[in-house]
Amino acid sequence: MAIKLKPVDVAIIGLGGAGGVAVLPLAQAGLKLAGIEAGTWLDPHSFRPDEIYNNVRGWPDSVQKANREVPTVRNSPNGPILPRPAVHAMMNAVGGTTIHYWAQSWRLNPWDFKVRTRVIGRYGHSAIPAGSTLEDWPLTYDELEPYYDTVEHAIGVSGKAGNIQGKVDPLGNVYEGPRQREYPMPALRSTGFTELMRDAAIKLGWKPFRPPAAINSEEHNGRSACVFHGYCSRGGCHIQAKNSTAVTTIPAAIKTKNLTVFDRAHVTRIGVDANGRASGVTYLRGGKEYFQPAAVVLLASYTYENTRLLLLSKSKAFPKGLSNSHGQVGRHYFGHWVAAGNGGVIALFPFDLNVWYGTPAQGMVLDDWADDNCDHSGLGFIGGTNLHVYNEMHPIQSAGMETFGEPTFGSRWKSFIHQNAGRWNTAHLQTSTFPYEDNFLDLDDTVLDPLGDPVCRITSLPRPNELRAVDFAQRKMEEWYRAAGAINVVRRPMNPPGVSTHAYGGTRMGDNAETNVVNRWGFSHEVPNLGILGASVMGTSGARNPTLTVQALSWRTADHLARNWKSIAL
Amino acid sequence: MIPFDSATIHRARETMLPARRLCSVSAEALKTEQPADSRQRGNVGTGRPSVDLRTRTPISSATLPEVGFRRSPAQIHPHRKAIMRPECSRSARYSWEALPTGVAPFRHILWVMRSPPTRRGISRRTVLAGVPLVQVSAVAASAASSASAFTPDQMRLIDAVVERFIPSDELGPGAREAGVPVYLERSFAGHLSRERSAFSEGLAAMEVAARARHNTAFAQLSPAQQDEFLTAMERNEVSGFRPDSRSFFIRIRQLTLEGMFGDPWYGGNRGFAGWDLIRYPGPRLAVSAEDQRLREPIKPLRTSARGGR
Repeated sequence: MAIKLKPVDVAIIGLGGAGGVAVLPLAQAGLKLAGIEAGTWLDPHSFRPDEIYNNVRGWPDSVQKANREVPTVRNSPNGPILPRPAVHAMMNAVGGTTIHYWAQSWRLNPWDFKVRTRVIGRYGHSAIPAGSTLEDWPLTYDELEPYYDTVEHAIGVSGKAGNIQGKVDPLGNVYEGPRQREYPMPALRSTGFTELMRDAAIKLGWKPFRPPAAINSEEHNGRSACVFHGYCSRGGCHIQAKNSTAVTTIPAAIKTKNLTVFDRAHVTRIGVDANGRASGVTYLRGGKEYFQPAAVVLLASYTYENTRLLLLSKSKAFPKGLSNSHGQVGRHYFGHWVAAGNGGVIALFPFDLNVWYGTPAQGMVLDDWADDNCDHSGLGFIGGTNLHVYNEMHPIQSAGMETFGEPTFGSRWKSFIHQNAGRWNTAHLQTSTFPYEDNFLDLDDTVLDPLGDPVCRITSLPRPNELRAVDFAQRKMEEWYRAAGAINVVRRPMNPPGVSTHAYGGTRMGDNAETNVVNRWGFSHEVPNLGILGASVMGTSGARNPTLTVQALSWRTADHLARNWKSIAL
Repeated sequence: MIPFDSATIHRARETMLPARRLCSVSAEALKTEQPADSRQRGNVGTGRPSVDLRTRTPISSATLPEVGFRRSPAQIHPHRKAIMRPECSRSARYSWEALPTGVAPFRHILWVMRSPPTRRGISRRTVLAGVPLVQVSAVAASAASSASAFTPDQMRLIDAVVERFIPSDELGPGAREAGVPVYLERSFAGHLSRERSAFSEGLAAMEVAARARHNTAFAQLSPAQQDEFLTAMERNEVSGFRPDSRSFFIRIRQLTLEGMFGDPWYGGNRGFAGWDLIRYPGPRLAVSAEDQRLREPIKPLRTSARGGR
C-alpha cells in the first residue's frame, strides 16, 4: 500500500525545461509545491569534456529512467518496429535535458500559430497537406509575447532582436514577430567560420543573423559568461553559463521555501477521485511507493511520457486513460523533421574551419526559407526550414565524417581524415512539421519497462509535404555552402523522425474538446485540475527549436493557475 | 546497436524485475543507474588517476581496484550527511584540477552540494539511507562477472580488424598501438556488457566466413586479404551475420573510432595518437576567440578530461 503524504497545493511531475519553469510563478504566488523528478541533482564537477561519456554513452552515471522506457518506432501502422536507438535523446535530472541541450531559445514565428488560416488565405484549401489534422493554435503570437519576454529575462537569453515593436533591425531576424524589448544579453560572439558563412549569405542576397541562446554571452545573474570550451552539445556546463532550469528558475523557486523537490522519484500513475478530478500522484522512491495528494496536478514530463502516463492512468472515470474520453491522447503527434549530422547536408572545405570549440548556438542562421517567408506557390509544400550552421565538433564525430567516395578504412582513409577531419561541416535544418491522421502515439504491449508497464509506441510515416520541404532546404543549404567555398557537398535523404528531442503533440491544445486534450490555458478539457506542460500541447512545430515556446507556455499555464486558483483547485 | 526484439526484452524483463512495483527502484534498477563499467570507475572515491601520469599510459584494467565506494559517504563528506552520489565523485574533481588552463576555481560548487530540503513527508535521509551499500554491492557484482570480456582468440581477431581499420604507417600509430583493443575489451566488460553476446556472435561469423573463404583464421590472412574481406563485409557480401555483415562492419568500425579518438582514460587513444592524427587540438576549459579563427593552426593541449596527461 502506498504511503500517503501530506497534501500539497500543486504536484508537478517532472522538473525539466517545462516544469522547472512553471514552479517559479507558482512558488512566487505562495502555493505549496511538490516537484516530483525522476532524476536527481547533477554536480557540475561531473560535467566533463568527454565525448564518450556525454555523447556516446549518454551520461551513464545519471538516472536512467528514460533509457529503460525508450519508445518503439514504426514507419507505418502495421510495419515492423525499427532498431532501438543506442541512448535516449532525453535525460532525467533536476533541470532535465536543459542540462545538456543546445540552449537555442527561439520564439516561433507569428505564422506558426495560425498556419491553417494563413495557408488557406494565401494558397487556398488545396494547399493543406492531405491527411493532416492541422488546426490553428487557440492563441496568437501576440498573446504569447509577454510570456516569451518574461521567460527570456527569467532564464537569461542572448541574442539580437530583429523587430522591436515594429522597428526592424537587419542585424537580427527581420522575419520575427514584434517583441517588446531587446534580449537581456547580446548574441554569442562570432567565429571565423560563422563570419565566412555570414559573408557568403550576404553575397547571395540573403539575411543571415546570429541565433538566440539561453547561454550567457556576458556575466548574468552572478553566473559567468560562456567560455566556448566545445562540449556543450549533450554536455553540462561546468561554469553554469548555460541557463538550464537547474541553475535559474528552480533555485529561485526553492528560495521562496514553497517548493520541495523529490528527486529519484519515479511517477507511475496519476490518481483520480470519484468525481473524475485528479487527486494526486503515485510514485516510487527508494524502493517504497508513495502517494502525494494535490489540489492540482501539473504533468510536465517529456512528450512521450506525458501521453504514456495518461494512457496508463486508467480509472473508473477514465477507462481509456486519463483525459482520454474523446480518444485524443496520443493523437496529433509528430517528431520534428530535422535534417542534420550525417543525415543532412555535409560540406568539405579546402582549409581548416576550426569549429572544434564553441557551442552549437554559436552559429549563423537564415530564415529566408522558414515558415511562410517566401512565396510557396508551385513549390508543392507549406512551411519551411531554418538553415543553421554552427560551431562545436568532437573528435570521434569528426573522424566519423563522410568520406566523399574515398575508402572508409585503411591507410588511405587515415590520410584522408588527417587532412579533412577539421575541414568539414554539417548544417542543422529544422523544417515545419504538421500533425496527420495516422501519425500517433500509443502503448506498445510487446515492450515493457522494468515495472511491467508498456512503453510508448511512435507511428511516424514519410510525409510528402515535409520530404519536399526538406529537399528544398537542402538545395538552398548546398548553395550556401558552395558560396562560402565548399569544394564538395553531399545531401543525404531524410527518413521519418524516430525518437526525437523535438517531439510534439499527443496532448494538443485547442478550444475544441473533440479534437484536443487541453484547453487554451493548458488544462485538460476533461479533468479541470490537471494541467499539461511541454511540447506535447503544441499543434505545429515551427522551423526552430521548441524549448523557449514550451517554457513560455508553461509560465502562462502556471500564471493562469495562480490567478484562477479558486476556480481550478476547488 | 542491438535490435530491440521481443526475446531480448523478455529476457531483460525476467532478469530485471521479478515482481511488479515495489522492487522497481531497488538493487537491479540502481545497478543500471550506476556505471556498468566499474573498472573504469575504479578510482571513484580514491582520487587516483587511471592513467599513469609519467608514461601517459592507462593503468591496465587488471591493476585497478574493483570497488565502487571505498569509504562511507560520511567519511568522504564529513560535513554533509546526505549520500555521496556517483556524480559527486572525487575523480571528477581531480580531473578538472588536473587541467592546466588558468580558469578561476568554481565558486558554484557549494550550491550543488546543497540538496533542497524536504519540507514535509518523508525525509531524504531516511529514504536514501540504504543506497550506498547497494551501490557497492551492485558495482562489485558487475565487476566480478565481467573479469574478461573476450577469449584470447577473440582478442586476436579484434586486434587484427582494428589494425586494418587504422594501420600503423608513416602518419603515426595505428589502432593496435593506440590501445583500441583495450578500449573494446573494457567497454564490453562494462558499459556494453549487454551487447557482448551479440558482438561475440558477429566475431564468430567473421571467423566462420574467413575460414570458408581462405581456410584460415582472419588474423592469419595477409593484410590485402583482410582488407578485401572487410570491404566485402562493408558491401554486405558476406553471409552468416545477424542481421547482416554491413551492420557488423559499421558497429566494429564505430567502436574503433571511439577507441582511437575518445578520451585516453577509456583505454584507447594512447599517447593521444588519435587526436594527433586528426589534428584535434584537445579539450580545454576555456577557448579564446583566437582559437576560433579560420585556417589558423591551434596549439594542441594534450590532457585527458578524466585526469592524467
